[in-house]
Amino acid sequence: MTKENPNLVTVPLEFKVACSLYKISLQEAVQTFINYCTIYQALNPSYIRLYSEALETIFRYLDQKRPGTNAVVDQGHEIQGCLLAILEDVVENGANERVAKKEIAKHVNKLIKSTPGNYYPKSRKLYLDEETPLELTKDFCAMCELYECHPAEILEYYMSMISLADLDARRDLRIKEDNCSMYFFMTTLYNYLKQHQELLKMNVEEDAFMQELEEYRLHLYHIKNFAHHRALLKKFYQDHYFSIHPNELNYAN
Amino acid sequence: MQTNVTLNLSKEFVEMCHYSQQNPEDVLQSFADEVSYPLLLTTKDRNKKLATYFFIQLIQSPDFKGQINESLEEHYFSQMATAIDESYAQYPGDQEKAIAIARQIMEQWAKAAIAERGRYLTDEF
Repeated sequence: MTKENPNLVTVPLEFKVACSLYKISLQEAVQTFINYCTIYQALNPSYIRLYSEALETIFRYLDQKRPGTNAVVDQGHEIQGCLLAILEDVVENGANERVAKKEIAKHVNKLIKSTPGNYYPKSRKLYLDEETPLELTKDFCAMCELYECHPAEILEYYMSMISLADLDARRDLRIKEDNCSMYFFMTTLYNYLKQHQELLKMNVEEDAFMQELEEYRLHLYHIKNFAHHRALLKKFYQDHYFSIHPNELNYAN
Repeated sequence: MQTNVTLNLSKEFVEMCHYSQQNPEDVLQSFADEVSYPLLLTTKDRNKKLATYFFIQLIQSPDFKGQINESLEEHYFSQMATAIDESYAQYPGDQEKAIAIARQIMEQWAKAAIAERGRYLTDEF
């Protein structure tokens, strides 16, 4: 697909379906992901919930894009050099986290000022549509430079990993899942809904759909083939989505 | 098949039967009549599916203690689905024919499951 606006992000249907069902805006959901991608975590060997999953999503994307190569392409890259210097000085020598973060922020700032931005737009903004901007953090931009990829590619990969049908099908068939992006999405969603309790109230139609879904999953018990099971659930979710957003049907076809 | 079962009926179940003037035996009988994969896969009537849904959620629950041979399950479910599709293709709208063929497969499945369990038991010795 050719894009008229290179700063426009293409949102996959299954991501829209998931956001719509849980009443979180696309903007909120994608922006949350951006905000959790930090250079500090990229240099930090220990696990930090959500930050690690966000980073892992980027790594998996890079691995898919350039299989077998290191995530960081250009070993002599000045950014990486300077970041590794910070890592040695600050993180490995036991400086505390606050100092480390401050140091990194200083370098990221310098970097953003000094590079023209080969991989991210000068405005540090992407758009989900004409009116819906995403703010790219300095950290996110610095990572795009570091890993030599465009922000939209990472975001589109992240969104492509989100599928309620996939999640349900795995649960139904007891197939172990290893989808850090989905884990990130569901956990941040859960936190978001905790703060917006009003969104948890379901109207009659929403309540009916959830019940239909439960029943449908019981009905699918006899479909043991994962791809088939997933495809049927996907269609079920999408039909519901199109019934609420009939205009979207024109785009999809 | 006729069988005697001893049940410990809950107070509420008895109360509900009592107030609606239903014989508990009839209630349980009509439930048992509708626990059926062939019925589930051939009927369009949602109400006729509920008993089997109950059964499925039971065997899917984390508290479920039994063991299901998943490869047999997969094999016979897929056979059943194919047979039902074929039956409906040949005799459109004829649920009787479709359910009859599905029941044959269910029977084979039950036999295979028993044979499998027998093999498992004798292998132990």
